[in-house]
Amino acid sequence: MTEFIRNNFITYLIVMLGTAFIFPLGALELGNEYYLMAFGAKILVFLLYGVSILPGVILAKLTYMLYISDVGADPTMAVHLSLISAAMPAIAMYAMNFTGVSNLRDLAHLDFRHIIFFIGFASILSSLTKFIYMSNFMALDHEAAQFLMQYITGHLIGGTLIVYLVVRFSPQILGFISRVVSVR
Amino acid sequence: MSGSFKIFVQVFLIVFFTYFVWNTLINLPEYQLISGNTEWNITVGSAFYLPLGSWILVYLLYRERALIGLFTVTFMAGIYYDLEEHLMIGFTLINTFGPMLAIHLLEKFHLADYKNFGTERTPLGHIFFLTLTASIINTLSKFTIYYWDLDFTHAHSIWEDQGSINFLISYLPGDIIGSTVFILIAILFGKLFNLQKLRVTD
Repeated sequence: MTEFIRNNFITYLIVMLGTAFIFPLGALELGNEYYLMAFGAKILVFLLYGVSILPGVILAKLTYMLYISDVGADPTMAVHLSLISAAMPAIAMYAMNFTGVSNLRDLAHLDFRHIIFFIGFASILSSLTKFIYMSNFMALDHEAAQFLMQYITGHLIGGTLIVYLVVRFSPQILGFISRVVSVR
Repeated sequence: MSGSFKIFVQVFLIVFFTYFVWNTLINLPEYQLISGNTEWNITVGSAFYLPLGSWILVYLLYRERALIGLFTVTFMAGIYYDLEEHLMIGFTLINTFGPMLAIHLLEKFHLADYKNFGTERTPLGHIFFLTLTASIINTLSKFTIYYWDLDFTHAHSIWEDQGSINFLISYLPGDIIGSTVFILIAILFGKLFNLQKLRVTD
């Protein structure tokens, strides 16, 4: 139980950290929709802890939607979007495990290609469901395809970038921390 | 007859027969009553899109050698359904290469291996994941072709069709259900009647 709470708390912090990227990118006018770092953070926690951290992801998304983003003005929409946003990577992960094409639970023996595919699959599911939900509130027919593709691209780049950076640099960071600790 | 021609004929017959069955199904009054669609509309997907299953099956059986036969039938289908020129070209290419892309994607990412389909046992989970991937590719690429710059190409159809959202909601589940049902029936019939012996081998 303690481990469950601890994992969910760490998840909450990581996903909130991911959403923090939105503001500097927005200020630099880099186009947030093309670099959804928050999605990368979500993918990362699902890979690290599995589906059990779903409550932490939902809470983090709810905090962001209700108190930070513009969606907060409509609490129902914020709750729905948080649930969609948190559940889709979990569903993608479950589908891949259930059909036996990959075992995303065993991170130690996981092929990096499976992670890349998982990011793509979760991106598409997440974008599709958000798009379908959002279309109830706005007329998107004129630019429907551009809107959807922009969403998918953002999820893909954000997801791949964060996971790649963590995988690439975490050994160095962990090594540096352990050296500092051993010197002391 | 050479092996390639035999493969062409088999692919042609399998896909053509599936189109025929599906076309008959969607024109049944009972089906129209359930689906609520009284006439065929490109923006509303079928609840059982069986042809996608047949495209996947022929690729699983013959890999790239099924390309010409599949292209021929899907091109003919485009003419039969009287699609606009750019839609006919786009949809034919998607129908021909979409399932192949799905199979190659799953194989390149080391998620599944379909090279021994029919000779060795392929897990049903892998087949189901393939139909899921092929359905997503099929729906998304057709959606992109149809709705990309819709306002420039045929703005009038915005008022005629039932919206981008209905396109996705009807196409995706129809593709998944139709292709999965078709593949499962094909595997079942193949085992029951030992259809494996009809497969053309080099």
